[in-house]
Amino acid sequence: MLLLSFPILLPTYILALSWAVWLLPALSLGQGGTAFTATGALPTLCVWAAALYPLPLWATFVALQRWNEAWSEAASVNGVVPIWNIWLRARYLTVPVSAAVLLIWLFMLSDFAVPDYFRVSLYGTETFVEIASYGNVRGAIIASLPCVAAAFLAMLAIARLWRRWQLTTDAAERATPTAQLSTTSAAARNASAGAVCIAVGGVLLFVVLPLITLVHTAGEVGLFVALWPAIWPDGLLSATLSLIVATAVVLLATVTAYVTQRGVTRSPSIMRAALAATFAIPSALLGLAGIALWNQPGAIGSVYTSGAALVLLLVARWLPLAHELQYAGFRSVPPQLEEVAWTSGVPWSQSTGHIVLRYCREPLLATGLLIFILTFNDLTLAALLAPPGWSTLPLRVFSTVHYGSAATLAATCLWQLLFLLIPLAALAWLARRAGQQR
Amino acid sequence: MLVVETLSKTFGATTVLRDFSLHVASGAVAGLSGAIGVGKTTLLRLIAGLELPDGGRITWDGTPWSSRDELLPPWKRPLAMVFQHPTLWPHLPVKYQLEFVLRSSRFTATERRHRTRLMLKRLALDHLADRYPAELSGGERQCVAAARALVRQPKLLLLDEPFSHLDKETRDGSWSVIRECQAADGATIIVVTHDAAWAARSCATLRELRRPECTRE
Repeated sequence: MLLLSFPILLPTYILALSWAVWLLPALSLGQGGTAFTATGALPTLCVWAAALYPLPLWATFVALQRWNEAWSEAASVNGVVPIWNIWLRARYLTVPVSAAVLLIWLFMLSDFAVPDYFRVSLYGTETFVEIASYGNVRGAIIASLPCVAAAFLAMLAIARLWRRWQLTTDAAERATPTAQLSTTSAAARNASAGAVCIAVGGVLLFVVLPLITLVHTAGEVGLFVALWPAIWPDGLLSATLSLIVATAVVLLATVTAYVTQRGVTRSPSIMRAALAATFAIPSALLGLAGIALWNQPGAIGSVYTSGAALVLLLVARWLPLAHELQYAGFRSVPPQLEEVAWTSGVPWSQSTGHIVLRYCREPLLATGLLIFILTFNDLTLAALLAPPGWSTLPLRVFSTVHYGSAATLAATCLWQLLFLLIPLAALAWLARRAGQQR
Repeated sequence: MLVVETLSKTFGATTVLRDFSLHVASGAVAGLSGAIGVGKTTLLRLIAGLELPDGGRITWDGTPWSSRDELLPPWKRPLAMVFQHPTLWPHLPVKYQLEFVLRSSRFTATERRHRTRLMLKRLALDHLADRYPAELSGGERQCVAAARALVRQPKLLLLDEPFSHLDKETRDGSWSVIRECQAADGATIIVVTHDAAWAARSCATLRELRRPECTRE
C-alpha cells in the first residue's frame, strides 16, 4: 500500500518532467518545456492519472475496510453466486470511488503546471497567463467563472454522494472481522495477489522508472551537491511554511470536524457546505482573490508582504479536505464511548482528549502529513502570493524549467523529493517505534 | 432430510462441537437451545457451509454438503439463513435486498419485482420498500432479513436467534408468517434460541446443546 501510494508524494510537475525525460530523451529539459503542442493533452492526462490515482485507491481501500464479511456471508447463504457477490461489493464502492473521481477533477482544474509544461491551453494555464503576463486580474476572474460554476456543481455532487455514503455506513453496522469462507479465500487471495502485482508493476513503470531517468539526467553527484547552498534556503522556507500550514489546518479541522460531527453546532450542514464551497474554488482563483484583497498600499498590504496572505489562503485551500478526513475519523468513534465517560464523571475536556483524540491519533497524523505534502508541493498559490524575495522549492523548479539547464532542473527536482522524504522517513521511524513500544 | 453425523469443530484450543449428531426430517421444525457459547451458532454456520468441519459430515437428502475434505459452497445449497444480528447490505434499499437474492435464480426482472412486493406485503413491510437499512429500527431490520431469506423459497431455513430484537407481538406475528411460508413450501426449519420455553411451544422437536463433553438429547 505504501508503494502504491507513493505517487501522491510527487508533485505533478516533477512527474511531468520525469516523463518528458523518459519518453523523449532527445529533447532537452528546461528552456520552456517540451514541444508537445499538438499532442500535449495525452501526456498531461497520463501524468495526472499516474499522480492522482492514489485518491480512488485510498477511497476503495477505506471503503473495503468498512466492508463487513458478514454481508458476503449473508449473500452466500441466501443463494447469491460469487459473481453477484462481486457486484454487491462493486455497487458498495460506487459512492466513494465517484467522489474520488470528482475530487481528482477538481485537482486537475486547479493544476496549471502540467498543462503549461506540455503546452496545452487549459483553463488553469490561461488564467495564469492573464495574471502573470498581463497583470489582468479582472480578466482572469471573468475567464475562470464558468469553471468555478462547474466546480461548484462538482462539489454539490460530492456532497450528495457523501450523504448517501453516510446512509449506507451507519455506525451500528461497522465492519467486524469474521471467518473467511474457505472455498473463496484461495481464489480471492490469488486474484488480489495478481492485482497487487499489476499495480506495483504500473508504479515501477510509470513512476519509479521515469524518476530513475531523472537521476540519470541530473548526472554527476558534484552538480547535485553544488546546488545545496542555493537550494537549502528555499527548502527551509517550504518546510517551515508547510509545517505552519499543516499545524494550523489540523487544529482548525479538529475543531470544525468535532462540532459538525457531534452536532455541537446548530447548523452543521451549513458549516460543511461553506467549507466544501471553499474547496470548489480553484487555487488560481483563490490566489487572484488574495491579490485583489491584500496587494494594496497601507496596512492591508502588510498581510501580503509579510507572507500571511499566502499562509491564510493555503489554510483556506486545504481546510475543507482536512475537515472531511477528520470528520470521518470522529465518525468512527462511537458517541457512546464519550457518553459513558460523562456519566462516570469525566469532564468533556478530558473525555475528548483521552478518548476521542486518542482513537483519532492515526487520522490526525495522516491528515497533517497529507496537508504538509500538499502545501510543500503547491505551486499555484505560491506563484501568485509569495511576497517579494520569497522563493519556495516548487517556485525554484518552475523558474528552472524556463531558465535553467536540464541537469540543474533534474537535480532541483530530486532535492525537492529528498526534502519531502526526510521528514516522512523520520515520521515512519517514529510510528514504528511507537508501535513497538505499544 | 438433514443428517449431521459425528460433527466436530475446534477453534484454536477451544473445542466447540465434539462428535455431534442431528437428524432433522424434511418439513420439520427443529429447535436448538442452550447456554451462551455451547456452539449453537457454529452448528448453523457449519450447516450453512460458512465453516469447514474438523470431523464428521453433513448431508442433505443423501447429497454430501460438508466434511473435513469437501465443502459444497453455501450458494449451491438450497438454504437461507437469518443471522442473529440482522445483516442487511447497508447500501441497498429494502426492496433491492430481496430482489438481489433472486438474481441468482432463474426469475425474470418482472417476477423478481412481483415476488419481492408480495413478500414485503406478507410481512407488512411494504411501506419500508424504499428505505435504507440505516433508516430502519432493529426489529424492522430483523423482519427484512427474514423476508429476504423467505423470498427464495428455500428448502432449509436456518434461523439464528431471529427474534432477539423483537417484542412479543412482532415475534409471534413474524413466526406465524414464517410457519405459513414453511407450510406452503414444505421447508425444513432449524431455529436456534436461548428461549427454551418458546422453543418448546413452537418447535416440533427441541434439542438442547451443552458443553462438548456432555451434549445430550
